[in-house]
Amino acid sequence: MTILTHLDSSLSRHSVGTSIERRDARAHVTGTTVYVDDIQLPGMLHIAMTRSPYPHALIRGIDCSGAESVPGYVRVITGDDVPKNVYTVLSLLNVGQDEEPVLANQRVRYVGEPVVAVVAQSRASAREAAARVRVSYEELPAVFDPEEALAEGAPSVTDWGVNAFVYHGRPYRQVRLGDVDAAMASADHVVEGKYQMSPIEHAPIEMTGCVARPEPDGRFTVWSNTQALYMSLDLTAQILKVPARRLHFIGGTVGGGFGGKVDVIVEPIATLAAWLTGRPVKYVFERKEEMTVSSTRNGVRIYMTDGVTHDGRIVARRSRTYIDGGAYSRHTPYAVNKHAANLGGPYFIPNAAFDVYCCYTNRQPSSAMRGFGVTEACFAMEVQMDRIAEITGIDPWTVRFRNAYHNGDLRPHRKPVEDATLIETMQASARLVGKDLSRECQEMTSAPREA
Amino acid sequence: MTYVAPDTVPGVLAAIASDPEGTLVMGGGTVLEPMMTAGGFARRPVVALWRAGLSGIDRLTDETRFGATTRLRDVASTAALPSLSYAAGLVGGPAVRNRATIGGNVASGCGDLLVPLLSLGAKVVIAGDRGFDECPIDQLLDTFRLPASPERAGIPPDRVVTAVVVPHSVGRTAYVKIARRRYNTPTVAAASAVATFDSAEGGVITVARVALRGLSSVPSRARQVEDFLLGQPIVDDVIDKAVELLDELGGGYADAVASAWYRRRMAKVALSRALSALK
Amino acid sequence: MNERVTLQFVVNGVQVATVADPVTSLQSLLRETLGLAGSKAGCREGSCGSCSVLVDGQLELSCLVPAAEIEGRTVRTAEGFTTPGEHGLDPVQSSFVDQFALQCGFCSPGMVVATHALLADCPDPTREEIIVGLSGNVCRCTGYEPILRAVADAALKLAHKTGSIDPAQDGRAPRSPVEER
Repeated sequence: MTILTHLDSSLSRHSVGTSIERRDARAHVTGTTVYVDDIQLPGMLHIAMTRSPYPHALIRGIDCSGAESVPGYVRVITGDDVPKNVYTVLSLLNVGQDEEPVLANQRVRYVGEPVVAVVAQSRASAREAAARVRVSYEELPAVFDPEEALAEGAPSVTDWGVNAFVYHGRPYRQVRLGDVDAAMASADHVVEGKYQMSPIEHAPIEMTGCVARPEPDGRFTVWSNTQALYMSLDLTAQILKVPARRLHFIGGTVGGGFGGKVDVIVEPIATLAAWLTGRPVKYVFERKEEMTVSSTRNGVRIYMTDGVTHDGRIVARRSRTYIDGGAYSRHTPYAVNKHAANLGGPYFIPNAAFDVYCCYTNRQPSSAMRGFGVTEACFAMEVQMDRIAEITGIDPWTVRFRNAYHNGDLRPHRKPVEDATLIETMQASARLVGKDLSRECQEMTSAPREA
Repeated sequence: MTYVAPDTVPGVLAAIASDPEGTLVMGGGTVLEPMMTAGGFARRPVVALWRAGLSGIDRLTDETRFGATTRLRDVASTAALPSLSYAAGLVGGPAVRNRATIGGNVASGCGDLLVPLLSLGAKVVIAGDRGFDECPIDQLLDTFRLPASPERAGIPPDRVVTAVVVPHSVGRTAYVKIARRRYNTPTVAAASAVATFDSAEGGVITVARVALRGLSSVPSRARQVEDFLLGQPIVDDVIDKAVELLDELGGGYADAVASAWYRRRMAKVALSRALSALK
Repeated sequence: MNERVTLQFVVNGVQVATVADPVTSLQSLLRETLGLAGSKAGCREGSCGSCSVLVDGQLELSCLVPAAEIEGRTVRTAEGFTTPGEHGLDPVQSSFVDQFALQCGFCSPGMVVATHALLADCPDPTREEIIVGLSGNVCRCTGYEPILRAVADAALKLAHKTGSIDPAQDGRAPRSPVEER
């Protein structure tokens, strides 16, 4: 028996079924956990960013001479210094167009977009030097609403002629099943709703950041609080045009993420700075940057129309969603996919037409947060279900039971349902809260419908 | 750059005199210290008040005098002035209250305590070359230039607040703060009211002072409401009519905390609750 | 260049001497000069509470305290409630662990310090008193309920342990009531 096997069986004998102290709890409560900003290395430098004050502008010139005279100044990094000045996190998965620069050098598309990275010996001198970089801008008209961004004559945020992410030649993600027009025409009731969710800032107590250190063997060690360690490594390798084996990323200690630390925003530039200076470099957001520059949850607007029979069954759903991706799409195209796939929810929708737009506006880029894409769909459709209950005069539980999908049903995006449990879950919930279900609901199961 | 913490008021004034416009006067540091941390290299001279003997509470027969560097924690436990102490207890969290000062709150031009202080008819004591002047707070806010900046708004640059003097009210007092969270949260709107009545069991209002925050970022007296309340009993339909007067004032200001639209509505809620608390 | 002042003060029972810009924050001194990163930097402006420390037994946000004010004072940080080299946790720390009152852990050091300050003044706090006592400490992960349980649990532990309450143990003079003359 190997040592590992011996240890395994010992642990499983003693620990299964017990409550075990978290491995990191002791360090957390004694204030000894090392988070990224706690890392101090000899000779470490700091990055502060010169950022756009405008939501939309052309960059006419960059003058760094004011920064150079600040005591502690080491150097600036502009877009021209970045080996591949393109950042698109989903390009790692071959999704999306290369649309976002690491450091803007032609155009800025949101307030706070990074333009010049200043490296200096202390946070204060980096900040002072960054404030003295003079960028001249020519302001452009800006758009802040996702529907307005798609309207005729809207300011152009993207380079490809439409302010939307393009999916297989269409500026929206489409889901089609059955014949929505015919089914809607045959419905007893048509229930319409307009639903909105505002952007939300994750506001983790720990700010986004990393420390990058050049190693004598030519590699770089990077400590990061990213939620996406491998994406951070791969994207940094791409941007720096180095093989991934030259990067050693260390992560796992994150002071709150909630989706706000998946965008790989700080590692490429910090690693590049470490490379260019030969010194360790720390790049951690200030609280203001975390709140105003780092990505948010998408703002969303959903127009949902359901055709419903007199006994509360949905026969058709038409839905149009505008997701505000902000100036750059980041993870939003993925949110669109999830949203489109989940607009039917756990319900049987035999005729469906969903159009989901990832819109570009001159707002802070939005990205991942806690079930992004799906949360918004759930909110809209559950309020819709309650409306259906109101309009048909049917109990809201019963409406949900009647519409719940069964195993074998085809979902709007054409996946057959497996392991359906909504019906059984609602039955258990009803017991827990003391809700008396009708006989019809009590006897229902998720078994496949009879043909 | 310099940092000095003189141990007398004349010492403070002398230190400020070398650069009145540029000097930052630090009370508890709750506003200025973060500013300095966030700033760049070049720093403005700082004159700190913590050693100048300006802390302490003198309770006299008709008034309580708070030294300017009295911490909000101590203002919050002052029995004689319930609306002021309640308001002080709602500023920041316990650690902020251990540090923030009543003088700093007033001198900022936009501190929460200005709302109850206005309604209580408080005065500030300002030290300058010619000695000490007492100035009613509403006059202070009206006559001096007031940016909503962390610097010494409303106080001439070469002078410093040394005390806040608050008369004891013979009437009933109330303070209501509307905010997004219960504690450790910036104010959306607030109202403070003081009223004396012509008889112990209620009767009609003989003196009324009402201060609001929400219609403007600088707290102000709501004189139309005060005039309307005179001679009226404090009952629900009088309160409703008083609150409706705010519609004529319009206003409301927007910032990261709340929109102007929301503030206008919340100012009415705050006023309504403050007046109801006088019953 | 900005001026420097010499400072001598006590941190976690150890006498410290250093030189600093008088307006540099105690937070910077602790984190960057003294290598004590238990005072976390969540906002640097007094809003989040993650930098909480005790100064002469009183709850302070180290990001708001200028270095000039720390001369001669006694500071206790989150790291200062356990004995170096010993493996035990103090009652507040172990309550936080036992009640799962943390997820990412970033607010935890500040919460532990604030709990000590609260229980020193209020050894048997009601739920509302706990909420007010910790109202300056923001948590984005837990929703606060496990933290409230941990504080109540710690209060019980401390009451049993000492009979009387003085967990701060900094030789702090009991706070006098508001000086009303």
